[in-house]
Amino acid sequence: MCVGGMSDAAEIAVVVHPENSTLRLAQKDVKRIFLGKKSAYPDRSVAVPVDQKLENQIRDDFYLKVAGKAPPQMQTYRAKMVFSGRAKSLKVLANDDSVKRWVASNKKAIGYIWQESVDESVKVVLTIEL
Amino acid sequence: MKIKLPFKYVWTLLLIYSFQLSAENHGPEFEFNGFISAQYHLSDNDAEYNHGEEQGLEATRAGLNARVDINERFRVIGQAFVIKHENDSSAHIDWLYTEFEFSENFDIRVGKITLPIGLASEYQDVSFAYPWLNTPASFYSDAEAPRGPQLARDSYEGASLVWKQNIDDWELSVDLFGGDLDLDQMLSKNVTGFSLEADWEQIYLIELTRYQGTMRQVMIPTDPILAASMEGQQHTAWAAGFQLEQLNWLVMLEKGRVEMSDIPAMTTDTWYVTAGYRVGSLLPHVTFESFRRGRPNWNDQDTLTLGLRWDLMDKVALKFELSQIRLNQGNGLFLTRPDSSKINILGFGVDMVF
Repeated sequence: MCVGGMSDAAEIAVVVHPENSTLRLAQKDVKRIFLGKKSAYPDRSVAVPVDQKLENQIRDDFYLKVAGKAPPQMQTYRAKMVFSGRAKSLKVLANDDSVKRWVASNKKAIGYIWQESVDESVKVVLTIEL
Repeated sequence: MKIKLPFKYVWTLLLIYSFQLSAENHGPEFEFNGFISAQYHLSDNDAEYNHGEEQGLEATRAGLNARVDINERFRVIGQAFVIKHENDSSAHIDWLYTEFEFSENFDIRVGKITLPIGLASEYQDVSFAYPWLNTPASFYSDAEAPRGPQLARDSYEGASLVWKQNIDDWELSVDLFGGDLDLDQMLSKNVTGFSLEADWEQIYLIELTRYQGTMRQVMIPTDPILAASMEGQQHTAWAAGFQLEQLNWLVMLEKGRVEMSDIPAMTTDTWYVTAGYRVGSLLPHVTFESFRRGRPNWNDQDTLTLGLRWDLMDKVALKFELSQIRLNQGNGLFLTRPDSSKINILGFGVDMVF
């Protein structure tokens, strides 16, 4: 079975700008950053998470694995956070290539892509096995 | 919107400081989000319930949320709201405040801010954000005195200090707030309160809130004697809430109490519990609500609701609900005493966010 064009042993890589001083993030920190509960890296610099399109399988897999939330639960959660004023919407990018380009050109950015898409333009701070 | 003088000074200082900071950034970022909730209700009784949403399209509403991040630390956030009435519609600003983030752990907010009482108070107009068609009326109704619980009210004009801290897997926050509540028929002056929140990995959420204020300029056309007795009284409210959201389960439980110092007839006790189990895009749920106001209990009603939320598309949900309100004593949340002690309300709606 393929997941979004990836193999059975698919892994998701959480990536940041190569010059970001963060070497590794715990899964719970990644969860907090992407759920709008935390807005900084361990060195206290601002973290700006970017999402992938709703249609992309990696988005469902990422939130299910990291936050334990299925797509409808994530939609409800985002609505709560945005309409209460607690967090802003995440920037949404089309695919892994778009995420890599964005992260490579933005020192604050943090995104997620399939492990197979990782190259030298980004730095991996967490690998999530599906 | 009027902002009281001390808050105006604080707001101005924050603004000046933020512009200093913004010189180091790329300028403001704007974001707009909207919501629509189209609802239709049918009741087997003509008596008006809560805000009249038991008949037709009365609870239909739409809103626009705007956020301007002037820089990484300073932002202005607001929400405007339109609701359908019998023959027309009305619009108002739900809330509008400026927020300054001193650090990741500490914020100050000044402006018109949602009263943080109740798990769903901060987004109670946004039906898409919760399982029900509307938040449980026994707890969240803002129907005018002496009918509603007078618990989760309109936004206050004032300031709020929020402290947040992560300890292990817990996120703890303390919100200290103060200001004035401008209600339709009265003012609650010098409101002060606190809200404590403990969130364990977005699975368990515990909230405890208490506030108090002084009633001023009370006008109740239907009961001028009660209005006169409420003038100058201390209004105290507290609420405790618990939410569990794990795997497919959703459980919400809230209890609230309101006291108006020398008027036992205005003492209100209310609670509700909701349990739901998600099966794919379907979330069937059941809610039991209890509303008691006055000593002895001269307003006493229970409500049982069976509901279904169907997440039809990513940002669209359909909802169906059947409620039975059992009036044990008095009018409950009805404007006049219905001719039956059991009233059934059927509702369905479409919720969207964009």
